[in-house]
Amino acid sequence: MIDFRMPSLGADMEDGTLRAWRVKPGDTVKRGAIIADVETQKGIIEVECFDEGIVHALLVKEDDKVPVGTVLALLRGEGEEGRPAGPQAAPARSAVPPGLVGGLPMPAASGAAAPRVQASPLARRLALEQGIDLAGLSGSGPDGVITKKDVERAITARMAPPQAAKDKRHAFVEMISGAPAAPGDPAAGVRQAVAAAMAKSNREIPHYRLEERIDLRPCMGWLAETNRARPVKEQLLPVVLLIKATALALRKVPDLNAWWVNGGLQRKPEVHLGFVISLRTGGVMVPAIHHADRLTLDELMRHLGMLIPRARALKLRSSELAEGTATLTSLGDRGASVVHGLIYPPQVALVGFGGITEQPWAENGTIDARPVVTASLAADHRATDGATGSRFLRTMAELLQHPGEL
Amino acid sequence: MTDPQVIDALRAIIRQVAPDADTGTLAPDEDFRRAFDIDSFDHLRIMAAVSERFGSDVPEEQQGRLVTLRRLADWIIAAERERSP
Repeated sequence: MIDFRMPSLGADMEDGTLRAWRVKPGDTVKRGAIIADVETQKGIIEVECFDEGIVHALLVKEDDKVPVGTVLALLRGEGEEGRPAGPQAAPARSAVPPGLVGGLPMPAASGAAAPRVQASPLARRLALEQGIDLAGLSGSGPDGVITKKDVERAITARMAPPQAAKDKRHAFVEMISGAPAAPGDPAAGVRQAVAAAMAKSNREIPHYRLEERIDLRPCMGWLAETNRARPVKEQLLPVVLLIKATALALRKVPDLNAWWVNGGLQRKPEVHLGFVISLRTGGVMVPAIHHADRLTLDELMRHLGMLIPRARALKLRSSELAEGTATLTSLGDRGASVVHGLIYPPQVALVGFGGITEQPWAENGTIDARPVVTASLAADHRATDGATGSRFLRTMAELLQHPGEL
Repeated sequence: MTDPQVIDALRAIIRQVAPDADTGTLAPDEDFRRAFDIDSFDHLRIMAAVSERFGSDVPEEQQGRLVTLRRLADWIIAAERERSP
């Protein structure tokens, strides 16, 4: 049996509230499937599964708040399902399909009959198909027997909760911020989450900071030429070049693509680049762009097209919030010229880009005006030293001189 | 399409991209990127929506200039005239 636990979606997360199950007992889940919606300070997160199997039982009820690490559901692995039942294994074909009774799993071993709730066979079948907990219903039939109608009512009630969910969300913001949530201020929870993560970063991480001016003339020229031939919908923004160059430089300087865990550096084999997205109402979200080093510029652009609106709607996935291996923040074309950022723990590096502006640039004894960006690096001095950071920034600057190869 | 109609349509497009933007108060010559804190990503979405709505692709070299309702409307009307002289 595989435990599916409340994931940690960031260094600052202690618990989460299970808002909705997206699966029911008996469902087959694939790796990457979305299993549940969990509410955290960062909004409602779609939690993905990292195993394959069949949902055996859901252990936590909707709207329960539980600490990180709590087992939320049990999954049967493929092998467990197909094998003939051993003494302690769940039977391959249980006489009583697993289900929910008052939020607890039914005993599945030996296929013993579960505590019977008085219900019509039709109601029972419908409840099973729809994942409705019969024990939670009151019967309207003779002697309180649960009928098909009762189950249908429960299904309808489950499917129409948007208004209720909105109210709960409001209550949640009040709970975590310790103050009444102002109407129209959905980002208060995000503010608190940013506050907790950044306070921890500033308290625990000895940062060192480096910066490097980078000549973006080749990039801007290449972009103008590329975009001229494309319809607006397929045009690229400078930020995708910055993302790709950062991801490739991280691959070349792997000590910065890592976590600092239990007093040691844990290099990450993949580059999942956290990308800072500012919310209009204040606060930031930092979803990871998975395998940013392997995506083409077009793929990165399309990815941002989906990611940014989702982040602003506070609808991200658990893997996007939990798996960042380093972070990039770009202030954009109207931003200040340089950013001195704070690392998002347990990562060890934050790469920052100020706005791209025209500046005097000296080269080969002459000065001319070029589009220039100042890249900065904030890195954890427990993990690396200035020489490493310097190598990273120089590598990135070099990559940005050849945009056609990114 | 008359000038006020184009401007109304543009206000709706901006509101679609930045739902919290109160485009009703936006002056025709105001830089809407500054007014509503619209980044380059959202500006490109606005350009894409304008291209789709009015049937002319906004050329790349014009995009940096088209940051007010007036300039956008002028460009759209000129582009329409060019297509059906």
